[in-house]
Amino acid sequence: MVYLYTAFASAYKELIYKKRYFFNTLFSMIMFYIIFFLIFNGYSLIANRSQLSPLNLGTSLSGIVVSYYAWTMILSIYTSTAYIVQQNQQFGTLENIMVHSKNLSFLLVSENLVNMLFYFVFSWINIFVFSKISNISLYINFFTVMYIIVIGLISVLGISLVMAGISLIYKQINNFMNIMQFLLLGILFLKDTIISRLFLPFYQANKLLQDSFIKNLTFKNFTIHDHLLLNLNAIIFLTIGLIVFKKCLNKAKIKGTLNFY
Amino acid sequence: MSLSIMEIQNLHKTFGNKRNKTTVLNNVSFNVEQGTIHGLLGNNGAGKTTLIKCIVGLLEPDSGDIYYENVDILKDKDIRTDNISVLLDGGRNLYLYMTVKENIKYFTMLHGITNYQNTDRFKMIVEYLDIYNILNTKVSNLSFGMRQRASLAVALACDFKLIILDEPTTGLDIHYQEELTKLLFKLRKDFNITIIVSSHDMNFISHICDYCTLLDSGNVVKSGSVSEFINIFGNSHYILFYDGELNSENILAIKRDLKHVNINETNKVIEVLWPNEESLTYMMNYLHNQNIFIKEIKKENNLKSSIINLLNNNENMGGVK
Repeated sequence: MVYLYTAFASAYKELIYKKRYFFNTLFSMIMFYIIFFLIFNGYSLIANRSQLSPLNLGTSLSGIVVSYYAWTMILSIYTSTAYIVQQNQQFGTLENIMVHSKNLSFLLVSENLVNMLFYFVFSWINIFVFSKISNISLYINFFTVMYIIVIGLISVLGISLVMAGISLIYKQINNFMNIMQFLLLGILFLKDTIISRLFLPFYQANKLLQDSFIKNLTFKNFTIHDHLLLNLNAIIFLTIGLIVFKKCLNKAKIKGTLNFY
Repeated sequence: MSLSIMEIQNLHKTFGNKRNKTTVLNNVSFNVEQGTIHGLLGNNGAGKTTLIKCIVGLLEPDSGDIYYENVDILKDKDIRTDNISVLLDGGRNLYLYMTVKENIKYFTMLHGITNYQNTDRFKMIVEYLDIYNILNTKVSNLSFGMRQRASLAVALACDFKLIILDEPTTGLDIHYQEELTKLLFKLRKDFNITIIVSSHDMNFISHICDYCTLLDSGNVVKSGSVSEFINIFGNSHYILFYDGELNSENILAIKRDLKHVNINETNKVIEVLWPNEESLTYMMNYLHNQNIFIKEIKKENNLKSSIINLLNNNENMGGVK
């Protein structure tokens, strides 16, 4: 029961935070749109110069729109846990929430899940703006996208917990996180194999998102194989994330690096 | 006779690697009695904050045990979360962007309590701590003293049985120190809460605490009641104002024959630690024979003098570092 209240508490705190810092959240969204505008136009320019056929260009552009959408969702979750940890360390409240919380990992995961839901609502604005900028029409299957996003982002949550664990020990890891975020974007464009679908974070989710947005496939149209890969990928990364975070937390308690700075 | 609410046994904590290891707590053992205010005294670097962080689970000790009501809280961590709270130094226990009320709601929810702000206990705590006017104020807009009050409100709201305050007087002016003292007395009396307070302010500790543990370089020099501390060296800290001039031979003789002595030639003062009045007479005769005449004797009989003596004694006995 306490875990349920922890989730409520996380939602309560996150809502207050989002309300107090609403403009910051809004501007980060606008930044996504600007970056997308630049990437999309740059790609169109290169594609036109290399004289791709209109059919190929259309498919690739749709792929870019969906992949960029996926990346914005990945970033919102990927940076979130480490950011929560770093912010609390800087405020000095990390030690206090540790004293009050029976399970810090659960507290962070639930705060992130609240973020995930928040960004999911925003994501519909994103996909609308992206398709308007690119003038590409996409199929909207709300529940299918929600299913893919939630399960897919659990794998990113695992990576996020790893980052949060590292930041508990090394405190400032912003540069490492910046490199990682572009690595996560690059991963989405790697060659499609069973290995990449199973062992790369959000890769399978991105493929299914493309199927849903571009080919109008829904939850029912996916094969069992697709569902299995999506869920296994999430389980693998979440498990790794939780284990690494716990190890790092123990290490931080031994080294005494939890204090504020 | 009080019962121990907490027992700390052979707590050992080091930092660093194998090549460069620093011992911060060296087999620390003492008990905290239920319903008392227990002071942790020591200079900067004595190990007070490390000890507190080990108690509340922010640091993992290398070895040793911590029992809360006979339960090993290094193993049963839920007991610790349910019963022990800490107010760390620097007034940084609450979320600055949230109001006092929002903080109380958030932290009570973490303990499985909902709608706390509608309960009678909440109203009572608000009245008790006199925080009604700041309930809807963001913590970032509060003074240091009021932040402490708000933090205490959170601790009371969560119904903790043991509250630890790490250096609560740092940054507080005398007015707030007095307020805090009164408040802690009230809390112990009205809520039967056990309080551990760490400080290097001996006056504050001697004023507020029933029991005291003195730490020096990670070692417990002594743990006991404050009156025990004061009596342990039984009126032993004397300040002698002398007349005449001490020559180097006199000084050497005094330092050789008297154990713990500090001579200030400019002010013509000899500060001496001596175990009993017989020895003092012996010492005065000795000084008289050295042609040194004592004009005035002052007897220091407080916690501060006892602690200075204890620390000096510890050092002279080659206290473990």
